[in-house]
Amino acid sequence: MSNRTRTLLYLRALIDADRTLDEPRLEPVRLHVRTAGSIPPKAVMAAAGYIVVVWTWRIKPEVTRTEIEQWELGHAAELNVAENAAQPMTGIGGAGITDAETGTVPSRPMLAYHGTVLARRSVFAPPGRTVQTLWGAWGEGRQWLEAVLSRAPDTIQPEWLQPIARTIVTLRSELMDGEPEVTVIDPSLPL
Amino acid sequence: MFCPTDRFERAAGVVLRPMPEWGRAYAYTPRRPALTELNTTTWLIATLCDGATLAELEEEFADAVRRVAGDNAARDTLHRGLAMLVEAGIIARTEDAAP
Repeated sequence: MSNRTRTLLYLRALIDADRTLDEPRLEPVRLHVRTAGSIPPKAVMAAAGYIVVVWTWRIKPEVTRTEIEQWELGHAAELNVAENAAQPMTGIGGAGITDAETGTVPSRPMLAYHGTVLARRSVFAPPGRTVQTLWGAWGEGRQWLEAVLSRAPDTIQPEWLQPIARTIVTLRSELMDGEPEVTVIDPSLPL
Repeated sequence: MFCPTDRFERAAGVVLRPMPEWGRAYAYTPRRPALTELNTTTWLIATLCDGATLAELEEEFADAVRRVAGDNAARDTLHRGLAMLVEAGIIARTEDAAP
């Protein structure tokens, strides 16, 4: 049996099981250059105590990619405030960090949103759309990140974090199906 | 508008990557670098486009979806999906030169 025949049989079975013929649809997949471009080199991340929090989550069936992208824009806008402006990264002891490759001290916001990307799951994953949302934080940003991801917005100080936390609540309540799978990547730990 | 004798096939260089566990496929179009998600219907149409004429596609598509759509609905859906795939550069149309 050829690949084409196998694919056609699969698609017929899928359409029969759904009992409906969906409107034809094409959706552009946005490639998140932010993810690669905004994460500093591992040595710098480790020296600054940088962590990346990854939420792996399933999209509610009725939610479209456009809605996720609108959420992303709103979330990124809330992070783009003066209190979270990029500043030279410092080590845990307060000393400056020099990027070994460029010889410069990287400037980063303490709390960063790195993007939401399609998750590569195994073929044994349940059907449905699964994505991963990544945030990074260093210095005081680690406490900020913990707060916006886990606490009710109106309980968070400083107040400028509250709108960010509200966008997280929107993500959880309107876009997410169930609870996220949380992974914390600490680059200071050995592989 | 397409003619019944127009032929449709995957555009040169396009990579179609099925993701059966999601009921989706992804197409990479190198000429206009982009990654596009195809739902089940557009994935089916793209799979059928192996150089077949529009008339052949109409017949094959109607047969594939006969349990869920009548001939007219299937033809309309096929035409809309084909137009989208051609516009996105995933499928290429060749006008049949035969008399």
